[in-house]
Amino acid sequence: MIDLTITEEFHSNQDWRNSKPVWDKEKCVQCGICYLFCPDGAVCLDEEGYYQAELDYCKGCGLCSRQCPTKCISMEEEVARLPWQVR
Amino acid sequence: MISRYPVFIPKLLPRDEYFVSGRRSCKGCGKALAVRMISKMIGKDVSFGYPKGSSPFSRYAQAGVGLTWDELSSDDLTDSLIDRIIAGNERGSEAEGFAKRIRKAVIGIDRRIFSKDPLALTGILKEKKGIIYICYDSEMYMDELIKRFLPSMDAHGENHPLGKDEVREFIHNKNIPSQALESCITYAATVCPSYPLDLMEKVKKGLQVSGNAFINVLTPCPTTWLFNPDLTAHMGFLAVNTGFYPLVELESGRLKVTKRVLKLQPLADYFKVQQRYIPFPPELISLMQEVVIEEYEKLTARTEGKGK
Ligand code: SF4
Ligand code: SF4
Ligand code: SF4
Repeated sequence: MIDLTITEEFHSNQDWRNSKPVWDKEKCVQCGICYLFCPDGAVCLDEEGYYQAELDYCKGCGLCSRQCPTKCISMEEEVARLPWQVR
Repeated sequence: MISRYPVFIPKLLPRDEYFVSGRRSCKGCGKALAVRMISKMIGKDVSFGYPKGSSPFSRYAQAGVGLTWDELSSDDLTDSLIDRIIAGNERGSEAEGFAKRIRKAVIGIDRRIFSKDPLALTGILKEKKGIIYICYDSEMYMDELIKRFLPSMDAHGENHPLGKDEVREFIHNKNIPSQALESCITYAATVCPSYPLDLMEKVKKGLQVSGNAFINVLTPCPTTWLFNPDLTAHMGFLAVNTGFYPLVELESGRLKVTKRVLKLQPLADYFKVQQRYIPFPPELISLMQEVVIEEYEKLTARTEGKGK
C-alpha cells in the first residue's frame, strides 16, 4: 500500500459512507480505470494485481463503480456509522 | 512519458500518490479528482506546500512551493513563495556540479477570484516568469444566472430577460478568462478530469514551457451542482460532448481543439442532470443551445483556419 501521511485529526472516512465498493475479481480485467478515477486515492493494488478499496479512505461515492468498463464493482449497502461509533 | 504509448494504459501512470485523502473534500469531489491527477503529473519536481497551520496536502508539505486547495489571492504569501522558487532556480543554475533543474511554481486558484477581482493575476504574471496557474472552475458564474430565476424576496430585484447578445458574451468568456489571456501567458488550456490523458498531457506541457502557463480545470461539484456523486466523471463527459466546455489548447498563439466533438449532444442533457438548473426556463436553455452551437462552430473554424 502507498505510504501516506495522515493529518492528526484524521481517523477514517467510514462515517461518511453509506455503501462500499466490492470488486468481483472474475470480471475484472485489471485495467486500472477505477484506480485513476477515485477522487480520494482509496483504490489500491493487492498482491494478486487486482484492485480493491482502502476502506479507511473510501467515501463511498461510487465513481469507481460508475467508471469501470466491465461493471464489476458493485456498491454494497452499509449502515452509516456515526462519528462516535468509528473504532 | 505517456505519449510514448499509442494506447492509454492507466497502469503505466506514476504509481506514487502525492495526494492525501482526508476530510477536506466531499464525496465524489471533482476538484479532489483533478488535484490528484495533476499532482501525479507534477510529481516530485514541484513540492507542495500549504500556509502553516492549514491542513497539509502532501508529505512534501514542508517545502516552500504552493499548490493550494482553495482560492488564493495575490497576497504577500504567494509573492514570497514565488520569489523563493525563482531565487532557488537562480541559485541552482549558478551552482556547479548540479544537474540544472528548473522548478516551477504551481498555484491553484479558484475561478471565483476572477469574478471578485478581474485583475487578480495580472500583476504577478507581468513581473514573474515560470508560473503555472491551475484554475479550478466549478462553474460558480452559472449561479449568477440561476439566481435571476429564483423567486426572490425583493420584488424590485433586477430580473430582465436575457438577450442573445448577453448570453453570447457570457458563453464566449466562459472557458478561459480573457483577463488571464491578456497577461503574459505562453500556454493556456482547458482540461477536465473526465479526460485524464488529455489533462495530464496538458499539465506536462504547461510544466515544460518556459513562460507562464494557465490551465483551466472543470471540476464538477456534486454538492453545489446537486447531482449524485457517482456522476462526477459523467458530468465532465457531458460538458465536453455538448460543446459547453470545449477542450482547447492555446500554444504560442495557435488554438487547437484537442477533443473534437463531431455531433454535439443537446445542451439540455447537461442541464437536466444537475438539479441546480431547475429554475431555468426552457426558452433560456434553447437560446443557450443556439449560442453554444454557434460558438463551437466558430471555434472549430478558427482552429482549422489557423491549423492549415
Ligand atoms: S475499472 Fe473495473 S475492470 Fe478495470 S481494474 Fe478497475 S475493477 Fe477491474
Ligand atoms: S467509492 Fe469513491 S472513494 Fe470509494 S473507492 Fe470508489 S471512487 Fe474511491
Ligand atoms: S463543495 Fe464541491 S468542490 Fe468543494 S469539496 Fe465539496 S464537491 Fe468538492
